[in-house]
Amino acid sequence: MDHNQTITLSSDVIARAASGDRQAFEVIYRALSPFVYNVAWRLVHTREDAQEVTQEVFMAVYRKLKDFQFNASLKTWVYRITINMAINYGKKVARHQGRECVFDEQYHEGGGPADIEIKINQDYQQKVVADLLKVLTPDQKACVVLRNIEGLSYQEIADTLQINLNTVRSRLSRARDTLLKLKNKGEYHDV
Amino acid sequence: MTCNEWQNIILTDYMDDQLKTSDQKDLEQHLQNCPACAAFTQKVTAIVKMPFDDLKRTEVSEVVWQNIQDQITEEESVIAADLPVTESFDWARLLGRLLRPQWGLALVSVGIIVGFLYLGFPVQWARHFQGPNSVMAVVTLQEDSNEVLEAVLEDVMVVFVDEEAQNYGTFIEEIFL
Repeated sequence: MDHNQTITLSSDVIARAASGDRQAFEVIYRALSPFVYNVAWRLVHTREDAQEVTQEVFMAVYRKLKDFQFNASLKTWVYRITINMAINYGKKVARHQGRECVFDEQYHEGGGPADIEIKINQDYQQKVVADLLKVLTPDQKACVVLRNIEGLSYQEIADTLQINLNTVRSRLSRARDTLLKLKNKGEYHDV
Repeated sequence: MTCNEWQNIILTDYMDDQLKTSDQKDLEQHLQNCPACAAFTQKVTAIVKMPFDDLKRTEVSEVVWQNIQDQITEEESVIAADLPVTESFDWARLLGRLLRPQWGLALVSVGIIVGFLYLGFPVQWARHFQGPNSVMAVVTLQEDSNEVLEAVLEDVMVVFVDEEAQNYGTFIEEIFL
C-alpha cells in the first residue's frame, strides 16, 4: 500500500519550530509521525517499542532542527533518522526476540460481524507481513518497508538511506529472493 | 536479454513500477512469449507484492505526543537552570585557550625571564631546596680579607688558598718534587 502522500511543510513552519515554537513543532509532528511510527513498528515489531522510537526520533528532530539545512528535504531527513534509530533500537532489544508481536489490540474495538471478519483478515495480514520482515536483514527490511509499505520511489529510498540506486535494487532483489526461497521451503503461507 | 536477466528486472523494477515505458513494453512482450517468466511474475506478485497490498496503517497514540511535550519541557527547564554553569564554562574555555601549548610555553618563558631579572628566585629557590648550611659558591679569599665574614654570613664556602702551593701544580707533582 502506498502511504507516500505529499507532505508539505513550509520553511516558515520549520524555522519557527527550530526557534522553539511548540505549535510549529506540533505541525511537523502531525505531518510526519504516521510515517515515523509505522516504519518504526515494522522494524522493531511491537507497538511499545515503536512508540519509544517515535519519541526518540522527534526529540532528536527537536534538538537538531536549528542545524537543519534548508536545501535538504525535511521529510527525507526525518525518514533517515527514523530508519537509523529503529534499526539501532532493534539491535538493542534483539535479546527480546521471543516477545510476541501485538497486532490485534486496535482492530478488535467495536464493529459488527462483517467488520470483525475484515479485522481478523487484517490481523492475519499484519502477522504475515511481520513474519516476512523478520527473516530479512535490517538493511533489506528498511528497503522493503520504504518501498512496499510506504511507497517511496527508488530515488527517495536512495536519498533516505544515502545509498545509490543500484544498492537499493540489489537490497530489494536479495530481500525478495529470500522471501521466494522461504515460500519454496513452505515456511510461510499466503495472505 | 536472457530469461535470467528479465527475471532480475521482474523482481525489482517491474514489481515496483520503476521501469521506463519502452522497457516495460519490451518486458510485457517477452512475458507473452515466455511461459517460464510469466509464471515467475505470478509467483513474485503473490509472494513479495500482495502481502503488502492494502496494509492498514496504524495510528499513533496521543500518549506519544504527550510524552514528547513533557520531555521537551523537562529539557528546556534543565537548560534554563544550567545557564550560569554555561557562563562559567565560557571562562573555563578561555582558560583552556590560554593553556594551549604555544601560549603555555610563552607564559613559562616570560615567567623565567621576569624571575631572573627582578626576583632572583633561582638563587633563592636553590637555597630553599639545598638547606641553610649548603655550599652556595666557592670563593678564594685571602685569610685576612674582610670579605671572609660576609661570605660566611652568606653560607658561601670559603677556601683559603696557599698561593705558593697553588703555583706548584697538582698533588702528584707535590709528591715527586
